[in-house]
Order: sequence, then structure tokens, then C-alpha cells
Amino acid sequence: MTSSSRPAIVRTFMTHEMSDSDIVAVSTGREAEFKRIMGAISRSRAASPGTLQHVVLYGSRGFGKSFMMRRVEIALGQHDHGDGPVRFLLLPEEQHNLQKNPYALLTYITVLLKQQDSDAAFEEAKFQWPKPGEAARRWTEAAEKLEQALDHSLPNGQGLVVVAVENFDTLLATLFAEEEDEQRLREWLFRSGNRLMLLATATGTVDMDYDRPLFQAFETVRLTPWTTEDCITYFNRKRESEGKPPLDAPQEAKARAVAEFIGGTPRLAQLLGEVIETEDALSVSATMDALADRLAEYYRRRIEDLSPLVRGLLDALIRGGEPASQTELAQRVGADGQNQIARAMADLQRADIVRGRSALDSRETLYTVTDRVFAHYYRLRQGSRTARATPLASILDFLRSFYTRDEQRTHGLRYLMDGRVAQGALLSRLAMEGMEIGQNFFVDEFPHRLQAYLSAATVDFGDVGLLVKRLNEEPEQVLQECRQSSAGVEIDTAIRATIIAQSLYRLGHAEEAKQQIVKEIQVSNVDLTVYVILLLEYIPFRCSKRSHLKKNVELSMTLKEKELEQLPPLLRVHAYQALGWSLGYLGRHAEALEVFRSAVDLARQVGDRREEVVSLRLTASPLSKLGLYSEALQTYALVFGLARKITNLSQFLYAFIDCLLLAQRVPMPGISGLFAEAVLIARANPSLAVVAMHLDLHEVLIAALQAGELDAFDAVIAEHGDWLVNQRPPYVFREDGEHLAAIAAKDGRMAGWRAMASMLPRLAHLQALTPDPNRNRTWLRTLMTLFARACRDPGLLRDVAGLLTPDLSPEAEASAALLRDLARVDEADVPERVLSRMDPDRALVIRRLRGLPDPEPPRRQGAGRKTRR
Amino acid sequence: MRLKIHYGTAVTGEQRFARPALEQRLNEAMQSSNGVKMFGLRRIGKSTLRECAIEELKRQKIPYVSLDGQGLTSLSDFMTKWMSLLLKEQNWLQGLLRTAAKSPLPLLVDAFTKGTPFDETALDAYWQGVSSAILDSSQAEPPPILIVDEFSMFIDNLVRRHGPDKANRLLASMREWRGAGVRMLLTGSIGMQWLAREHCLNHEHLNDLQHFEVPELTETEAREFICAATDAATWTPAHTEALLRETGGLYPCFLVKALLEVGMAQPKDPADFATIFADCVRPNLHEDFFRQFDRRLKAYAKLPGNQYREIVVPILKAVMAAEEPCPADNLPGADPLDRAEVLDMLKEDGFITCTVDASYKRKWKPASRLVQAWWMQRGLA
Repeated sequence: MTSSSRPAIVRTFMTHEMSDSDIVAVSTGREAEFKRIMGAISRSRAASPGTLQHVVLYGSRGFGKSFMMRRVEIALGQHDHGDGPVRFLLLPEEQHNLQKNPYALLTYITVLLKQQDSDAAFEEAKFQWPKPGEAARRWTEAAEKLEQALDHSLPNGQGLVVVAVENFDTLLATLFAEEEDEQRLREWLFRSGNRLMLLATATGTVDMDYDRPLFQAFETVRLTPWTTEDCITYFNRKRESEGKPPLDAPQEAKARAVAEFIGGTPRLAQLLGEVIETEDALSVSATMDALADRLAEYYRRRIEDLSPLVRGLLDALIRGGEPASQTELAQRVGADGQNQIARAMADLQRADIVRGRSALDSRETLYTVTDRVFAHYYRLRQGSRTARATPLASILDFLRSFYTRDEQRTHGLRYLMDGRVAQGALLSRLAMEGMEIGQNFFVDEFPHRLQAYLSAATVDFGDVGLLVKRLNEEPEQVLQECRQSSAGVEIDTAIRATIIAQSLYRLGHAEEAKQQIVKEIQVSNVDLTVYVILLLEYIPFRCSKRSHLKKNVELSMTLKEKELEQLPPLLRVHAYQALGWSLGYLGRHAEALEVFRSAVDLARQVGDRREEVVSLRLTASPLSKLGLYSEALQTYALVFGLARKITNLSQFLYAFIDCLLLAQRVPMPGISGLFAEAVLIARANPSLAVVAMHLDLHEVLIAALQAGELDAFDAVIAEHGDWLVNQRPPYVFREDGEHLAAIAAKDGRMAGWRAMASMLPRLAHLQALTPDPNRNRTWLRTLMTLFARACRDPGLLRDVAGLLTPDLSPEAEASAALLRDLARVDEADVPERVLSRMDPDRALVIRRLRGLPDPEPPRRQGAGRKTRR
Repeated sequence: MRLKIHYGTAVTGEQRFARPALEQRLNEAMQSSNGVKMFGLRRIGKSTLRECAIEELKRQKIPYVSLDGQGLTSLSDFMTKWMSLLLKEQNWLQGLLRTAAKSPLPLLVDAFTKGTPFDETALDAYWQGVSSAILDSSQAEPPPILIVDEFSMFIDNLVRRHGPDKANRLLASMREWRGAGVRMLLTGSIGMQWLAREHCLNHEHLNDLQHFEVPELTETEAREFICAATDAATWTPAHTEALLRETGGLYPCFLVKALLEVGMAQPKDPADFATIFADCVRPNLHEDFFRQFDRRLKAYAKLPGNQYREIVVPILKAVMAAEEPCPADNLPGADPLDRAEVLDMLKEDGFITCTVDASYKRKWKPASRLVQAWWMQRGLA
């Protein structure tokens, strides 16, 4: 048996078996209650014989009532009874001999008083068949015998006997169900000259029922759940008694999780303490199972203590999912309203089974079962499939707080690799909570790459669509299958490695995913197909990390030396795309164009329209870069046409975003129509939102300006502006200013002024549409700075300054002043004269923009120092 | 600490907080009438007051016998207990046994003294004889005062075991005996008015007894109580004020409960009292008491006709809302007799109480801080 499946030691909490020193050593968090009981005993001792203070200690099961009885016993044993003896009689926890006959309780106490140390008491106190009609007489007789026993037992009949009766509520129900019997009991408890104090423990009511004779006949002491601090103290006391050092910080964090999990039930703290030492999640789960099993009786009783309606409500809470508000619960059980279940909820809380916490986002109180082992037990016993199939699933909330995220991830990975996929996946997903993988190239484009890889496979991997669907839904199963399979040749192994990497990535194990591919690259540098598959998988993986562009380019460039013609065509298309992209990155646009064109041809040959459209789109980029604008425009037209034809919406959007680079320089007729189309596509397909997030409105605006299609642009903004600014806040780039200056340089001052006059209110409008936190407050200054640098026409500078009205931006005035001063500087024969009288801050900006030298050279080092003579 | 506090039952001696005026009033009532009935809420100090009366009887050497109605379920139970206590009053008992020679009474005494079996049916059959014998003997020489604690519990047992007729017979006989000089002090935590209504008993049988009510402590008394139960070295006036502010009722049991929770020798910080009461006292103790009012109020809904809506609730609302004690004439209800009966019922059940002015007009007010707290908490105001 491995350590992972061995439960930590589970012992039932038997206080009767614990040594006195153990009891004292680990007693925790009950000082106030202990003092109350000892105070009552002391008052009873002082009053005896007389009216004694009887006590009932209330507490839910497992809250330490028996433990407290032992503590009292020990304390009384150590007490110096200068004022007469106090004898402590602890009745056995369960009293099956006491049935039907109320007087049997008195007889039992009498027997114990007389023969406490021998087993005669056990034999003598046997059950007697009840005789109807004699209850009263027998009770009186038994009471008299008990008085005699007290006379004998106490020296000179003086002193006090404390009789501890556990589960007194049960005893009342079995022995004193008849009202007159309970009346007799009350009368007996408060008879004159009494020397016997009752110290009862109970879970349910003993003295709370107004209509019962014992109503408010006791001093009541209540055991409340332990606080987290109590639990920590307990763990440390226990460790100290075992010679272990106190909990260190990580262990304490775990101990807090345990404390939280058990809802402050001391019995569970004792039983679950061992878990803190455990590293292994499955053994924690096994311990929980063992605990739930061992505590079955305990939990069953806790449930049985509840009345039927209360029990039903608890069931609805656990089955329907926690936490839940009272209103929600009322709906769940079909009650008429929260009022109807309020009483039952109060009982559940009074029994310390559920606890309410205020919801942070509303005024509601949300309820959960405090003891999570209890909830676990309940799910197991009530036939929850999840609880049975995945041991960890039902203690998720525990694992969540017990392990750090790193631990969850590490354990998760280990289980996945050990073949315990369900557990592994569960812990892995736990580690990923709140940090779900965003969309990226590595994951999103995998289906297309996989299609290409499978064209080289020698074994059947099944349908790509199905495989990808399973990868998304149950990556752990796909992982397991791939790891168990060894069919096929090296190529198949490489494909499997990519699938394994994808599975691991989807379960949050990015680093391990990468290792899967790297490992295979290292062992398979020989076969070209294998190399290409792994390379194609490795590059986008790194893409998803963003920061490895150069390395990726380097890797892709290795393909240039390979004889790619040997590859299966579809795989070759992908290889060309990767190679072409690298060439483009390196500025080798002509070579890139050639490679992309090969990709287009090949895709056409194999009839893969998707790869054709991708390759075509890629071709347009080097065409633009090479200044072959009309050919680039034609290519984009083809791309849009083909994308529409094969309804490849994502490629349509990518193409639109790509083409903006060109359209900002060259008028691209129809750009605003494409914009409208792209927006409709993105809005209708939430899965493409990620693409829409790359759409820069200021680029579209300049493209529309260039094409003279501003009205159509305005129409799109009017309809979709709110949505658009929420996808990506509208930025303004410095380059936009250059674009505008370029228009003026090319078509004259009037054209430049018109362009600026069209742009400014539209950019301001986009900012106004944007929710406040996302607004770009410096957009005007950003735009004007590079416009100012690129524009050397003082007249235009002044004209544009005239456009900068305060309604555009609070920065308008400062920007206008800059442009005007710049015009003055540009016009001046000796710019320095103007600059020297100018606001020094603005002068500094102008010097930077125009590359003018600073008026004074920087002070030499040490120049400021004066030497004293 | 002069007062040794106790929670759970009647107390005497060092455990009892003296209420001289109240005790004096009870003693006077006992001596000036056929006797006293003291029925009302549980745990408000009736039994303690009864114990106090007994002490006074002892002091004055007035003979009495005291028995507890709890656990008694039949006429023979009651008679056996009474007679057994009268054994020490041999003269009177012998006289009675002579008078009742032909009744089962001697057998009953024998049954008790010699342990021979006794049949309840015999007592039933010869009850008239037994009752008359007691009547005759009492006229000749009054027997010791009969004190029965939890008398209404016994009557309740009797009714449930044997039906209302037997209980009515006993109540009628007891009234006759009182007329012949058997003085009685009957106490109980179940209201006899309510029992009578519930089981169709004739509550006229108790009309000759003086009703005695145990009020809450006044605030001054409550301060004295707290002062007596605590140690001046550690307990400050701030503690007292905080406790009085938080406690829902001024009955001794509420004060004791509160003191036990906050500690007496080393009390907790007065600033924490509000939390202690909110967490430990009110949800338990007060709730238990409040339930009593809930149940009674619910039981009234079963009253015949529309009495609950037309009389009971309007009267309760009027009394609870009034800032000054309310004259009966100002209260709702068309028929004055009907109204008076309802007022008595509400009084016995602890909802309201009254003062009587010089012109014998009763003025009604809420019976306690506790009932006011209940009224508020239940949103009835």
C-alpha cells in the first residue's frame, strides 16, 4: 500500500479511555464553562444538605461534554475538601439498563454509591420488568434507599455527591416520558435536605419546554463551537504532549483550514489533527472517508436529533448546493416564504449544524453546513455519485483552503502522471480557479494544426473535431489515453506528444506541456516530419507567452534549410506559413512573399480553403511592405471574398485588422463597409471576441478618412460605439499624428486641416463613449505631439491650433499654445530668440520636437563646488 | 456576598432574597381568609414565597402540612399523601378516622402505614362519605393548614387520567372543607382559569380563595438583589446598570440567570454585557419564556365565538399601548362582565395586572417587563 492511499490514524474519541494527564494536557478553550460548573458544585457543597444547584451542560454531539465530565472528575479528585467530601459518580455514557422504570435511575445511583469499585454494580443494576400501578410506590422506596445509601456513603451523612448523567435528555425521554414521573423527579431533585447534585449533559432539551415540569430547573451551561484559535491551541497542546514542536507557519495555515472545515467541532479536531502532517491529498480524502465511516453513528444521531422538518431542510441545503439564503431554501422546498422555514432554520443553527455568514454582495445571509466532514458524510451516505466516484470532489472546499495553489498544482500534476486522472484533474482545476486560460494561438489554432499533423499519421487518431471537443471537455481522459497508447511510429508518438501537451496546458500545467514537446524535439531531431510537427507546436506555445518572438523566429528559420518538399502537403503549408512569417519579421519581405505564395498554391492544390485564405492573408502583408499597394489591395479583396465564401469569420476579422495597416496609408475603398461587416460578425460570435479586442478604432478612423468614408464610419459608431469601446478602449497613438501630417505634406494645407477637423471631434466622441475608468486622458497631447513634430507648416500649425476647442479635451488649450509657439519658432530666423522668452516647459518640448540644442550646456561635474580660501 | 444565589427551584435562608412587604401581605392574606391561591407564570418566585409563608407559620407555631402536587395522579394519591402528613397530628386524625369509620379512609391510612394494597375505586364509591367526614371533623376542630404546591399540575394529572368529573368533585369538596375551616394555600404554575376552560371544570370552586400575585422586583429591589449577590470589590455600579439595562425581566430568576452568565466573583466587563445577553441569555432563557405567551395567545384563538378577535386582542393591545394604567371602563368590550372575565384570564396567565384605587376601580397595565419585551419582539405592538 502506498502512502497515498493509507488513511492517517483515526481513533474514536473515547474520553473514558483517556488518562487523567492526557485530559488535562489537551483541555482547551472551555475555561469559562469549566469554572461555571465548578462554581455550581461549590455552591451546592455549601448548601448541602439543602437546595442544591443542579446543572445541565448543553452541547451538540462531539462538542466535549464527556470530556468536561472527566475534567470535573479530575478536578474534584484533586480538590482539598476541607469542608467535607464531594464524591463524584459518573454514570456510564449509555444506560441501556434504564428503561421504562423511573425508579431504576435512583436504584442505579444507589448501587453505584454502595459498590463503586466492584463489578457487582454492573450485575446488580440490571433491568427490571415494569409493573404498572406501582411506579409511585417504587419511586418512593427507591428514593428512601438512596437516602440510606447517602447516609452510609458520606461520613456522618455530611457532604455532597455529584452524579454525572450523560445524555440526560435521552434518559428523560426513556424513563420520564410520563409527566407525573418527571414531576416526581423534579420534586425529588428539590426535596429538602438534599445531598445529591445532578450534573447532566444533554444535546436536546431538558429544561427548555415550558410545559414540562423540569422547565428552567437547572443552571445551564452551553458548549459553543471552538473558534479557529481554540483549534490551533488544541493542536499545539496535543503536539506538546506528544513531544512535538508547535505548528510552523505552513502547518498552521493547514490547521486553520482543518478548523474551518470541521466547523469548530472539538471531536473532529482530535480526529483530524493527524491530517496536518499529511502531504498527500488522496490520503486526506481517505482519512475523511474513514472519518465519515467511523463517525457514521455520531452523524446519524446528530441527524436523528433533528425533527423531521428540520431534517428535510438540512437535506435540501446539502443536496441543492451550499451556500444558500433562507429565501432560496424556502423556494427550494416549496415553502410559502422564508417565514415558514424560519423556525426550522433557527433549530438547525441552535444545533450548531449550519452557520450563516453575510453575503458580501447583498444584505442576505448565506447558510452552510459548518462541519464539512458532516456534509461529506451526508453526500456519501445519501448516494451522491460524485462523492463516490471522485473521493476528492466532495471535500473540494477543504482542499481549496488546505493546500496552497502551488501544492494543488503539484499534487494535481503528480496524480495526472500517476494515472489518477480524475483526482489529478480535480486538483489541477482547483489550482486554476479564477485564472482560467485565456484564448490564445496555441489552443485556438490547434485544431488546424492537428488536421495537418494527422495528414502524416500512420495510425487512426479518429475525427479531429471530436478529439478537440474531448480535449476541451475532458482533457484528463485524452491525456490518459495518449499516455497509455504506444501504437504507430515516431510520427504518431510526436502527434501524441502534442495532444498530451494540449491536455496538460488545458489543466493549467503550461510548463509541463512545454516539456512534453521539448523532450520529443530533443529525441527526434532526425525525422523531418516529426521535427516540423514538434516545431509547429512549439512556436505557438511560445507565442502564447508573448516574449519569445526572436527565439521563435530563429527556430522557424531552421525550416529554411530543410527539404520541406518531403512533407505531406498540408503540413508543408503550415511550415511555409511559419517560415514566411519569420522572414517577414526579419524584413526579408520578398522571400516571405515567395514562401507565402507557395503556401497559397499548395493549399489550393490540396483543396484546403481555410489554409488558402490564411496563406493569402499572410501574402498581403509583404506586398504592402514592398510598396505593391494595388496588388496588396487586390489580395485583401480576395481574402475577404474567400473568407465570406467559406464563412471563415475569424479569418475575415484577422484580415480586416491586418488590412488597416495598409488602409491608413493608401485609400482602401469599401473599408467602412468592411468595418461594419466585421463589427456585426464579432458581435454575433462571442467566441471571436478575442479578435475584436485587437481592433483599434483610431486606425479604422484614419483608414476611413483616407478612403473618404467617414459618414459610413460614423454610422457604425452610432450603432455599435458603446459596444466597441467596451471591447477595447479607444487609444490614440503618436503615429496617428504623423499620418495626419503626411496627408498635409502630400495633399496640401487644406487637406491636412480638413483631415484634422474630421478626426478631432470623432476621437473626442469615442473618448466620451468610453466608461470613465478606461478613458485615455492624454489622447489630444499624444496626437498633437507627433503631428507637431512632423508638420513644418506654421500656417497649418496655427490653423490646427484654432481647431483645439476646450470641448474636445481639457488639454486643448495647452496643445493649442504648443502649436502656436511652435509656428512662431518655425517662422523665426533665430529660433533661440523666441524660445528664450517662452514658457520654459513648453520651450523644452519644442527643443525636443525640433531637435534644437539646449541653451546651456549641462554643468560640468564639480562646477558647483566653491573652494573656500 | 450575603445572597447565595441558586437557579432552578424555590429557595430559603441564605439563598432567598427577602421581600418583606410582599411576605407580610401574604401572611396577612393567609390569616384573614379561607386561604390563598397563587397561580401564574413559572419560575417567578411563587414557591419561594410559599416557603417563606411556611417559615412564618413555623415561627408562629401554627400547624400546617405541605405537599407537592407533582407526581400525584389520583384521589387516593392525594389523600394518601395528605393523611400520611397528618399522622403526626394524631388527635385530629383519630377524630377523623372515628367519624369516617365506615368509609375507606381507615383502609387508606392502613394502606399507607402498613403497606397493604388500596383500591382507588373504593375511594371513588365512598367519596361523599369521606368528604363529609372531613367536613365534620374540621368543623369540630380545624385541621392544620393545607399547603399544596403545583396544585394545578395535580388537577391536570387527575383530569387526564380520570376525566374532569373527579377533579370537579375534589374541587367542590375542598371548597366545602374550606368553608368548615380547612385553610389552604394552593400554588401552581398552570393557570387554573385556563385549566378550567380547557377541561370544563367549574372555576367557581376556587372563588373563595384570595388571589395572590407575585410581581417582578422593583428596580430598587433589583439593585439591592444584585448588590447582595455580588462582591463589592469586583462588582461596580456600572455592572449593575449594564445588567439592568440588558435584562428582560426583573423576576429573581432572570437576575440570577444573568448573574451566572456574566459572573459574580470576577464579572466580565460591563461593555461586554450586551453581547453576552444577545448571544447567551436572550436566545435561550427569554425565548423559553416567550414561548409560554405564544402558546397561551394561540390557545385563546380557540375560544368560542369571535372572542379572540373581538375582545382578547383589542384588550391586550389597549393595555400594552397605554402609557398609564388603564381603567377597565376605557377598555374594549361591550359586556362589562364578559370583559372582566377576560381580564382575569389575562391576569392569571401573566399578560396583565392591575391596581385597585380607592373607589375599587381596577386599572390595568402590562404584568411585567418580560411580557412587554415579548410583545415588542413578536411585533405585536
